[in-house]
Amino acid sequence: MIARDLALFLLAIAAGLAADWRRWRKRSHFWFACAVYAVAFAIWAYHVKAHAAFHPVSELHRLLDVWLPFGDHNILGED
Amino acid sequence: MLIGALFSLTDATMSVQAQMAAFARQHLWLVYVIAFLALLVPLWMLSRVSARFPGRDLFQALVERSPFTGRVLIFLYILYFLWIAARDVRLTGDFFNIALLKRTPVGVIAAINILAAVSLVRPAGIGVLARSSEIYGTVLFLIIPLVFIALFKDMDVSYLMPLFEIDPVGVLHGVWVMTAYMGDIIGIAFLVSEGVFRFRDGVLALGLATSGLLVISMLSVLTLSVPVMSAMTFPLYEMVRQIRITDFLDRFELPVLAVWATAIICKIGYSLYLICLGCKRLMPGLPGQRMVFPAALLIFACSFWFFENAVDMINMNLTMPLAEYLFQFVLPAVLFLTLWPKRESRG
Repeated sequence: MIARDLALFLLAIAAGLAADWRRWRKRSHFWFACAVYAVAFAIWAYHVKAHAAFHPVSELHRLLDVWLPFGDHNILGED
Repeated sequence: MLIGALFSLTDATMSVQAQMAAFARQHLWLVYVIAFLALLVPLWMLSRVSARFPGRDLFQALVERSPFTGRVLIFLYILYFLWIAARDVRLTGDFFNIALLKRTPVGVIAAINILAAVSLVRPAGIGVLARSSEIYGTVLFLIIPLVFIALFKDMDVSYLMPLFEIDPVGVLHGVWVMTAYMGDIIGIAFLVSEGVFRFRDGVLALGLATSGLLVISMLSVLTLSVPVMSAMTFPLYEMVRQIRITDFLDRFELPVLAVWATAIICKIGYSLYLICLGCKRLMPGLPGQRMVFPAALLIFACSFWFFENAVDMINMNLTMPLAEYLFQFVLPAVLFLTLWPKRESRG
């Protein structure tokens, strides 16, 4: 499963690179796009491999919820 | 105008409606009125900033005025539009997975949505997107009176009672969750690159979106009642499912969803376009068209990484406005106060 998800993502990156292959005027622009691809792949690999390890928005919600007067914390109360 | 209305309306019809109904009860209309008035402020401020830099988009104005701080602000706004796009992709994926395509993985639905947005943005930038919005935005807004007519016989005015027992705290909680969604409209100020973003256009767009949302939300209260509406995950979808015009149109929600899905794909496309435009301004000479694929893949990856599950998508409606208001109210105010054109030296 993990290998399939990663392979499909790599395939999508390859398709993107192939579609824009000949059009780069500056090498730095190409590397910038590659950096974005690399970040996207790193995030996807982390998500696929680690599964529910760290999800920024979910964690931020848990952090802020305590301070919100009408968040889950206040509606549901303490355990 | 339609672009702005789509920015505001499309995903404000989702799970946030149930939370808003739970807070504001039958006084949902008041939430929209307050949100509309509140959002006029950032729209006015951004229109004034745009008027100071005619013929340039706001990203360009930022870089031109202050190369370093401007780029930092552009980067922050890229993150904001990335957040909007990732949220929309996941929201749509989860919705279709829960409501319609139960055996199709969320990843496949999200990938199709992203691919559709890429195919709209990549060939001709904003041109194709704007034309698509004209078609699907118009149809989406035409559906609203049609739904009203179709559900007219099922409305029960007693669901609005007690009419004058307004809970101000509940209404303000409703405003808190809804304004963040409607506040996505500030994106249109960044889209205008030729000429000036006019405040009048912003008001008309926001007015159209607000009135559309107000009608369908109140319709939902009148047909489903507040307790039922607030207990549902997607109350407006459930409301549309009640419509049975004739025997052959007993699944009226399908054409409605088809139009809505295309409209939200347009919105994802606009966020994608703004991310690419931001990157283009961040790195001079970078072709924005070639950033469409990398940005789309980043949106796809983030839409899964950001949220643990579909429940978190609903929970975050309560807390994420805290971060979103930074981009919708605070930063426009900062831009309004600080972003002035350089004085030209005389002689």
